[in-house]
Amino acid sequence: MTGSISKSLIEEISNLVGSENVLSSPEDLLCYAFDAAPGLYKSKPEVVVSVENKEQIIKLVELAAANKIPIYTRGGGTNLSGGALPVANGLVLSTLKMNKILEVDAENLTATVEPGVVIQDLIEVLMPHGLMYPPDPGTVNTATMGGSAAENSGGLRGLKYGVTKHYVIGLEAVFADGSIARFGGKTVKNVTGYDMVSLLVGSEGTLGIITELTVKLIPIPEYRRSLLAVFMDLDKAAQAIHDIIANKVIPATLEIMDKFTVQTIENYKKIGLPMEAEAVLLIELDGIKEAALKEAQLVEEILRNNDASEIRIAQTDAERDAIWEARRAALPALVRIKPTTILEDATVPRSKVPEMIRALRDIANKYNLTIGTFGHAGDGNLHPTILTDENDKEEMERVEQAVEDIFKAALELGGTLSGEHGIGLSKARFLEWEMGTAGVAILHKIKVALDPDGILNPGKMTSA
Amino acid sequence: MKELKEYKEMISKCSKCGNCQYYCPTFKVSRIEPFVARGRIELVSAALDGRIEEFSDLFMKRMNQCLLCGNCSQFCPPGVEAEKIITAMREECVAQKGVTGVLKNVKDSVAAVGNITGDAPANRMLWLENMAEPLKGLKVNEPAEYAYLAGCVPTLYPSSYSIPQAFVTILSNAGVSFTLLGAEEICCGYPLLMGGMREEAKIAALKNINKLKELGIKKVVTTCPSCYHMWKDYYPELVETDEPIEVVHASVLLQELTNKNELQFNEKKLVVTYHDPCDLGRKSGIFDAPREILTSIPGVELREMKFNRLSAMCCGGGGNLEMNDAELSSQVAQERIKQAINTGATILVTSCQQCKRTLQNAARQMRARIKIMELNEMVKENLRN
Ligand SMILES: Cc1cc2nc3c(=O)[nH]c(=O)nc-3n(C[C@H](O)[C@H](O)[C@H](O)COP(=O)(O)OP(=O)(O)OC[C@H]3O[C@@H](n4cnc5c(N)ncnc54)[C@H](O)[C@@H]3O)c2cc1C
Ligand code: SF4
Ligand code: SF4
Repeated sequence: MTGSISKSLIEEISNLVGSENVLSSPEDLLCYAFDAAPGLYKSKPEVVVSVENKEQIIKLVELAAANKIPIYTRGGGTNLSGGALPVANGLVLSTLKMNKILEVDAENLTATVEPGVVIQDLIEVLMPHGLMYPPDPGTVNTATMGGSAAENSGGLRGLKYGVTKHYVIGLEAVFADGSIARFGGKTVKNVTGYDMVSLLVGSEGTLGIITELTVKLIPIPEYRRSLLAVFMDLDKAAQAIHDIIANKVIPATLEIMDKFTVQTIENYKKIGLPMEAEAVLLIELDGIKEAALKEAQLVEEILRNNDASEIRIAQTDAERDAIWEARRAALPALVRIKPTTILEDATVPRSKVPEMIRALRDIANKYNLTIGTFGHAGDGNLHPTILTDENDKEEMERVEQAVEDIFKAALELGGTLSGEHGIGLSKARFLEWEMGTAGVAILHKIKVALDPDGILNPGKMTSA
Repeated sequence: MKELKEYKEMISKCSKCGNCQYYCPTFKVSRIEPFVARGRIELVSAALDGRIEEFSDLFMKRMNQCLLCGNCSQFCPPGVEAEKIITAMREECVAQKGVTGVLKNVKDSVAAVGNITGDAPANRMLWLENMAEPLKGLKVNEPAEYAYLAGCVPTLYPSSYSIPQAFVTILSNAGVSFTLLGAEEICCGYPLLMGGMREEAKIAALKNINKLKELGIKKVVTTCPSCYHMWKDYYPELVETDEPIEVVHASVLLQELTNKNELQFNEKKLVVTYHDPCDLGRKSGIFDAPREILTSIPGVELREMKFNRLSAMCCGGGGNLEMNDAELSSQVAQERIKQAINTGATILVTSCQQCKRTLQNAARQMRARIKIMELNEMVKENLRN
């Protein structure tokens, strides 16, 4: 199936999209042998094609189908699971030049965009309308609407506002045979046929190439209140998380950072976080001013009752920024320590967060590794971050075992392999652990039904 | 400035997170990976590991398409400094393959006549001879508090003459003691250093420092951000000297004069935006002086572009890009003009002759209704009396 691309085919592609949109020199192809996933095998594609419209995608897929050439669709190339890697020669299709915002429909609270639109660009266009598109992965400035839909990405606001799948309500995609179809639309309600929108969201480029998306929007919350709380006891922090939710308060954001992460941030930025803290919680309430303030008051009480040793409440925008600066600094601080950073996203039910954090600590000790953990405590989506060095073979073996243990721990606690980063290449072989043989077989049947020759993103998720 | 091999560890720290895409001007206009920091770093890394041919024409072209603007590294989570890695790689390319293309002309003409254009040294004085209202008593090669280094572009490109003309007028009005070096001024060596020619840059630095010693001058003022950055940050590294020469950028001197009420302005209702030159802003940390001068003109409203100060987008003229890939340089400049237009300003002010040139060309190509002015031009135009 790994058909190799002839010179004449490249010429045909150039005629189709213009030679300025085709890269085929070894130097340029090398720049597409990676995405943001660390430590994976780097192989070059045979050609990179930047498409400008869906007609070009249709023709390109027809060419690829006729010649059985793999197509790896790529947006920002920021995914962390190797989803955009060309593993079996073939063609990388870049959507980055399809970046038009086609419509903002303020009356119906929807926006329709091309797949290469960067999330932040949409967010900025919506601001003057007083509207917002809530999914905000850490890569909001670089990830595309198509890529984040294909990964079903989450972000900091997942607890209250949900993730990408809760916002994509209409999709158009090109399938492996070159056909193009549209599912869903501008209505929030739509039960016509199978829910194909849901199937395509999170399909990681293995079922179809998304050519257009319609997303649901919400009004920008009128008021925001941020708090930071320091705990000397992890269980107390966990109890506080539990109590907040039990009191029917759903913060927009509820983040946790463990001791190692806090210390690393403090060493890097000197924000004034206590080095001896066992955990730090960062919380944001939003909504109508009176409601947000009332909730903030309740949260403050809960934090105090759980012996938070320090509580900072942002009174001004500058103070709010300072609080979130701490959270934003987490990854930059951690990645400075070692050459390779493995950022996992195993997710557990909210109530199991403390158990998971303890399990992660045990795993770090067992394999003698450095692991900093931070993440979206409110929705159980933690980011254990292993700091290592790709070139240290012996340590990388321990890392691999530790990652397996992390997955096992998450599954034992009733969680999942991946909360938001996707399966791609790096987690494909663990799929069975969560879904069982029968589950994986179903995925495989869907894949084969839609893409019998396996030309769409082969080697990822189901076709491992 | 380190050598390439000293950057190995930094290269290995690039996590390919892609954050640089948001800041890299050449990526913004091309949207392809070989035109962004992480792609460029992967190329360097592959060359070092022998995964690709090290000095192929395309490889060197890709290295030369970086603006060396440093926008990416300012925001890079692990702190990878692409512009330094790429400068070191350019040096390596020169060591292996020699200087090629337009840069070869620059190298030869700096060696022969002390400037980047190949003009006869006497032409450095044409801007002065061309002044509509000639100034009396200007010193040339005489002892004074400051030596004003006007730089190659302002003195040799007629469209930039107005910058040194404005600056000397302002200085004279304010009674500042300064001398010009006239025909004896030579290139500071920055384009050579950025083109990977450290030795040649060193020679230029040495000549410049000796010239000032000869005149007994301890302070240099320049309107050029690149000369400023070179004198301030690279000269101490390139040339050992017991008596370092103090270097001041024109905008800082003007700010001092404004604060002392030596400069007073007429009122003018204007909306302006300010473009930070990379070498003045991000590389030298001078953000406030030019802004304070602008807002001290009564009636001027300053509106910031989306990418300003630390994230200010390069004008397209950095890293010798105009010489290496004029088309790409122009695309970057046009993108910057769009950002300026989005502020609603009618004038874009910058404090660099190169930024002015690239942005002005772009605005002309786009038929954009925005005027591009250098800070000194703006100040002189609005001076009272
Ligand atoms: C520092 C960092 C922080 C991150 N933080 C978060 C976070 O908070 N939350 C989160 O969920 N993720 C996070 N991520 C992961 C990543 O940013 C997201 O997965 C992102 O949405 C991917 O978008 P992209 O445009 O870069 O897609 P790419 O990486 O280009 O592609 C991702 C997948 O989608 C497919 N694809 C791309 N475009 C299309 C299309 N048009 N049609 C069909 N398939 C397509 C690709 O084939 C690939 O399988 C983070 C990554 C990094 C490096
Ligand atoms: S931001 Fe820095 S670490 Fe991330 S890809 Fe760019 S150069 Fe590499
Ligand atoms: S230095 Fe400037 S042009 Fe070069 S990679 Fe960084 S941001 Fe891009």
